[in-house]
Amino acid sequence: MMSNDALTIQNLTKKFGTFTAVDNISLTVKKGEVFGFLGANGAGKTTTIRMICALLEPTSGEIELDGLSVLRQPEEVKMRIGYMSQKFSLYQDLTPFENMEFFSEIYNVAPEKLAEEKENLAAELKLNNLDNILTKELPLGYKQRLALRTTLIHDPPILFLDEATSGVDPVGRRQFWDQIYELSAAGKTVFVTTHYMDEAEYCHRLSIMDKGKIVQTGTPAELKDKFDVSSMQDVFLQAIQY
Amino acid sequence: MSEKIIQLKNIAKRYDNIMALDHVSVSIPHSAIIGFIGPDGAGKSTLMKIILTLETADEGEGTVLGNSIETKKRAIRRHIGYMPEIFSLYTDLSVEENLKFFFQIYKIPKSQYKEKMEMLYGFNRLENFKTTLAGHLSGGMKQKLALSCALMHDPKILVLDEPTTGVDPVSRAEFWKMLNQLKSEGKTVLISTPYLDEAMQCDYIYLFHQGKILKQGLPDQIISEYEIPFYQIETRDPIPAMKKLQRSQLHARFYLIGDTIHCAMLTKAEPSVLEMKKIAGNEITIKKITPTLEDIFLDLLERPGEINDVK
Amino acid sequence: MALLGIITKEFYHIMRDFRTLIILFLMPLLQMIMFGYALNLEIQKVEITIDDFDHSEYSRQLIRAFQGSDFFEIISDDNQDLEVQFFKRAIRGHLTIPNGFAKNMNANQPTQVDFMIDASNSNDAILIEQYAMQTLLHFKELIGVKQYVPVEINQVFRFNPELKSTYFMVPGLLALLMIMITTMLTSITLVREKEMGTMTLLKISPLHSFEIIIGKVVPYLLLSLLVGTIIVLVGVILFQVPVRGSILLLYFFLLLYCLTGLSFGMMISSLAKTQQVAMLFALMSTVLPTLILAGFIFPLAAMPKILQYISYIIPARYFLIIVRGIMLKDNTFIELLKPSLALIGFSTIFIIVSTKKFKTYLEQ
Ligand SMILES: Nc1ncnc2c1ncn2[C@@H]1O[C@H](COP(=O)(O)OP(=O)(O)OP(=O)(O)O)[C@@H](O)[C@H]1O
Ligand SMILES: [Mg+2]
Repeated sequence: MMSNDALTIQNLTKKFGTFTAVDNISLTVKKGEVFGFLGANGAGKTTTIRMICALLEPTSGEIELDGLSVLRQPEEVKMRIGYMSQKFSLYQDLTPFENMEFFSEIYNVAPEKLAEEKENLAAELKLNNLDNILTKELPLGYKQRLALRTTLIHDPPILFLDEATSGVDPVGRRQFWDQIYELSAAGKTVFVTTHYMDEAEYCHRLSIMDKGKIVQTGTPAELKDKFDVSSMQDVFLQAIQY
Repeated sequence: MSEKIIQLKNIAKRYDNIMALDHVSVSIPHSAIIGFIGPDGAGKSTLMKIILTLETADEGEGTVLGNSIETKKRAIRRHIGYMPEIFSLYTDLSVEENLKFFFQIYKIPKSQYKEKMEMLYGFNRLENFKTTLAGHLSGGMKQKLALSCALMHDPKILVLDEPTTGVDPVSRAEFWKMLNQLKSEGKTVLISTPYLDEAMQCDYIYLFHQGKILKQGLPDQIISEYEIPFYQIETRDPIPAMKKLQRSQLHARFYLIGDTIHCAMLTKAEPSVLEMKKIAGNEITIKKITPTLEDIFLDLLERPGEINDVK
Repeated sequence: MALLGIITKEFYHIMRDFRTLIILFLMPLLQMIMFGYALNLEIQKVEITIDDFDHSEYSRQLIRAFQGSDFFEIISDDNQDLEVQFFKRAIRGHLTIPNGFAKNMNANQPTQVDFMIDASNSNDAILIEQYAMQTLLHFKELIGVKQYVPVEINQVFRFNPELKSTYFMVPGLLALLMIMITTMLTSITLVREKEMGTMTLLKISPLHSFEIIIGKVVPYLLLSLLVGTIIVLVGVILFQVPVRGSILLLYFFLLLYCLTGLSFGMMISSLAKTQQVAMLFALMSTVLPTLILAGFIFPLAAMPKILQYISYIIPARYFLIIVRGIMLKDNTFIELLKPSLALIGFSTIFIIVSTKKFKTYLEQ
């Protein structure tokens, strides 16, 4: 039977030396969900995502992604995920198109699909010189949308966006989130971390992490009810014990 | 207003074929928090670097603390602290070693070491990570460390380029407490931020766009003087409702803010509540609101034609 | 206080970048083993003096043979002290034809002439020896002796009696590796600060540029001296190269030489934007000139005039002479006065220009 879950994490732990960065967390994300992952700085969000994406080996625990075990089938898992990291991860000294070409090589993307994606990007950014401008010359908001498009080049069913909108201005963030919604509507699962609490409101469901543990999980409405506050900002401030 | 400590007149700066700054003038008093806001690439960082004397303007002139930005670079740099936009600390040094290094190069009397560290660890909460290498910190922790290094310095002017990017809400609140503390000590803080709730906490803001200053003033004043009416629409399922409204022929822009829809009229006319209900469903409630800076920011940048008029 | 801060920080960088540290210490070792052998090179015109105690037809014929050779140039000896001549490198060979040379030959007796060779450059010494042998054969043709004539050259090697090539190579490698390492060290660490953005923070800090410069130079100077010591020790232990002269003098010049490289690296860092560029530039601008123009592998005498002139501004050229002088010949400062003054002069100019350039970069 096909499961409805895009991602299941069970008792996941990561230690760096004696320091426990992720402390026995469990979590389920449903297909098509926009799932928010909040938490204070250093709570362990990025570490968790890196383990899910098979970039970092867990100390213990199980991760199942799209029916595959991340520990036992990391290569298959990597084909099914798109990962956009906190730091901007494209080649700054290549053009946007060259970046796309490079990543489509890696993921064995058909040339027709690449051509189509290039067109989409040009239309979306309303720029027609994407093959003769260097990526580093683009404004940050554009870079992030380029990164998102590139992350999507191999059509992965699950996307991990680690602070993809950090530092992006309100207009850029809005456009970025429009895109996230489109993806979700198209059936993709989107897993996001963010420190913008207005973005937290846009998630279908979310978890709040604190010092390596998941301390709250629910829909924004549920969490606001639970703490009897009117915004996610207040939920966050109450959920985190500094 | 009181005496100005930064005065820039008609500053222009060009990089290759981009006009990064297109003849802007600012004058900044002491004991104030000045916000630079605007979309990416609008010229905020460039203007900061010109004030810091790290870049030279192609045109225009200016003084910082009475020193010319062209000829008295060293005098200016001595009195100015800076946190750059990109992470600029030593990743192979521990948290404590980084802090100590900056304490030393800022030439702060040794007797203040303990007190400074207490204050900074209080804000950055990195005390338990003293011996962790900066390169092993999480993104936001790095940011807080960099910020702490900038705050270590005791300069008359502090220039912070997007210091709170990636910093969690709790730490951001504490950081702003510290900024207000510095302000009360008579310091001037120039800060750029993509968070418009932070811009509200500034004493004065400059809104940059394409190398020009699009708007400036006290945040409240900018809001109260903004003439376009805004409305807030509440409904159980805002996204489909918003989509419907956007597709309609109504003379307004609709967008999501949190779990509500905001509506900015394209003219000064009142909206037709009835019409909206017809489109988005009867259960919606509509009320007129005072816009936030974010509403205004979005309106200024997305309003068709507006930007081109400015160009 | 602030200066101490930079120096401490720099030591943290050094200690934590373990890989670079290993490379830094292993590279000289490997290089020495690689370079330590087999170099076969041509030279021209070796100045020699001749003492003829025989004054016979045969002895004049022998002198003529040497005169006719393209390789040797006989200079008049003016009764100067042989020792001094060798020291000053005025001559690199000395032929003594003993009294009774002709008599012995006529009697078909085993006959010997003495040929003294400066062997501080062992490769040259081997070549000089071979040419002397050829000249002797030519002499035999000249006098038309078809049958066996037992004339021999008794070779005496000066300075380097065992004629080890590494004797010559170790000072050369010291000169080559030290300038390369020092230039790379400062250029890379400074450009890394540029890349990481920390340079901006240093520029904007209340640090004086001299504090930044000294703070950067001191740790790397110590590190370079350590590497230099290793090179010398490897030479002494592995290749039995002697250090005949004053160690203090050797270190004085090593220090000066390192400072030259370190400040040159600083100049590079004010121009280069990435570490790769800095590294390439540092390598190109040190290795090639040192190899080609310092008289390390190719004798300067064999160079086109223009290159010879250029070689005068290369500190390595003087450093090489000095190190050889101290290690192999027990030369004193006075004996090395000329190259010493040249090295001091050029290095000082280099250091001043480079630090000025870097200072301008910091303050612009
Ligand atoms: N390679 C590493 N070595 C040691 N500690 C590490 C390493 N990587 C991460 N950590 C530690 O793990 C903890 C969690 O880091 P992580 O990057 O997951 O936080 P985060 O929740 O993503 O924070 P932020 O919101 O600031 O991005 C931090 O305390 C960090 O210092
Ligand atoms: Mg993170």
